[in-house]
Amino acid sequence: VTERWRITGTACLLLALAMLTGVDALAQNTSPLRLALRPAAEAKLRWTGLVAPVEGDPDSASNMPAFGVFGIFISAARGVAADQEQQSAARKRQMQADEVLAPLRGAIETIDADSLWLATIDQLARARSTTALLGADIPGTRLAATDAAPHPQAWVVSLVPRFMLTARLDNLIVDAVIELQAPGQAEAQASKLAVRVISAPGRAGDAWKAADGKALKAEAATLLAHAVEIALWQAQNTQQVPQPATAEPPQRTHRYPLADELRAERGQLLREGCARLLIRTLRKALLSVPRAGASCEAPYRLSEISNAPTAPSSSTSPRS
Amino acid sequence: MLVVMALAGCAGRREALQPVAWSPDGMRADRSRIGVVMRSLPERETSFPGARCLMCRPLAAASNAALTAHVATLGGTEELAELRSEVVALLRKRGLDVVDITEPLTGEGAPPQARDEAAVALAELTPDIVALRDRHALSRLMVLEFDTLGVHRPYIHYAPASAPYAVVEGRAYVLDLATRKLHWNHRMHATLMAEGEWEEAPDFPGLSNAYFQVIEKVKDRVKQILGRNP
Repeated sequence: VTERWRITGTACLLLALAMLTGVDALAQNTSPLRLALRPAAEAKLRWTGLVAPVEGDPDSASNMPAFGVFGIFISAARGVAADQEQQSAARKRQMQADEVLAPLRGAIETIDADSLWLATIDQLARARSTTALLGADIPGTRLAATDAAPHPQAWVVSLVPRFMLTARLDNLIVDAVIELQAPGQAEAQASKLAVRVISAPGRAGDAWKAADGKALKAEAATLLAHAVEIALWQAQNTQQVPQPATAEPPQRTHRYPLADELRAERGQLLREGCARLLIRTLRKALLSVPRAGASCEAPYRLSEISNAPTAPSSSTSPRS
Repeated sequence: MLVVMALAGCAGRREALQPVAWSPDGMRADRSRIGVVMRSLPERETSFPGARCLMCRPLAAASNAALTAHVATLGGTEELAELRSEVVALLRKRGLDVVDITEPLTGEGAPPQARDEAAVALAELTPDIVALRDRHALSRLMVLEFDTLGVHRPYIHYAPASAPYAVVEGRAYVLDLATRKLHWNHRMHATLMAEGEWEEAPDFPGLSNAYFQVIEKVKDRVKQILGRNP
């Protein structure tokens, strides 16, 4: 009997330890999070116009006979020419799209990478409602150079952003390649993620120039902070709750407002909130888009996003 | 001479394919009972327009084998079926007596002359349409049919002329089941290239996304027409 009690006692002790470990793991989720932001090696930020979707060109197909063996040479030559034409057309489309930046050049020039990182850290601190972020004044929290040593408990976040504006300046978009290195993780094991965030509607045209471009800078920092939030959420989620393939949300077509139209994106709805949808695209990038017709106090707050892992069937329809 | 006649025939057919504008007033006035049905969907396919010579086509097919295999797996049935229910809701909102016919039309499409000559009386109604008319006591039938779902890659004989693009093609029409005339004829057609890189075998995410985007584009256009005020 004594032996049985001893075994039972040991089992209870092990169980309690396991529970404590579990509680600790949960507590980590809400404990203060340290971030070390490692800016891109390139100090200059990239700004472009968003190129509109391109339709196919059925007229590029040949209607002429192939002329036997000579047809091989003729078609090869025409194929090369067509390839060059398309590259040229793509460059032209980008140049035309970039024209949208002209009225904002002054505002864009005022946004340097360094001050944008600081603004991003500030936004991150404000956005995180459940976890506090240590400020830029803590040594090792903001890395001045890529070879600087991070704080031992900090997540190291490396960013390469590209900002885009839609044709009528309705939306600002950030495409960010984000590398995350968990505390104690080797640099080689860092996870890399592409995140696109599309701004909430409501600001357009000259509104970006307000306060000497500060509106544009503030929104850029907000989008970047949201992108980092998403990447962190994804990294922590992957680390703590590995999802079996069967629990994956289904692929659906999601609609969202962009400029004056309703765009479509195929992907998995990872989270949804009052103002936003978070979609994993077919390219495995994360896309945060505004919901159509949503009017919410905090259009970028990640904490509003529910924890339901599966997508509701209404996700294809915009909220009206 | 034969070639000239054939070309003239083709040109004539294209000219005859006239759209018929949407006008729900007549239907509302004569209290038509209108059924909305979707024809069963075709296979998802790749096509290589321009690769027409004896050796060009197999060469194009072989060099795009991975793309063809992937396109065959593309879905979209659920999204396209949504169009029918959304159209039903729109028509009901406009005060029309609508029957939502959930089972697809599986028979052959309307006779070729009816498909090519809009607003012209059909030679005869196909048996599946007659069956629907009798079963649901319909006076008109709206048919949503898709002919092409997939990806096209234009060729200049042996060489690709452009990157592939997603294509959705079809037709939406309203048939008066008494007079056998077309009361609405709308060509559904949309194409879209992949955003950025397209050569992403085996899953081709960029092109797959474009495919689902053109489905939405086609649906949006139909809903826009049916939803707008006359």
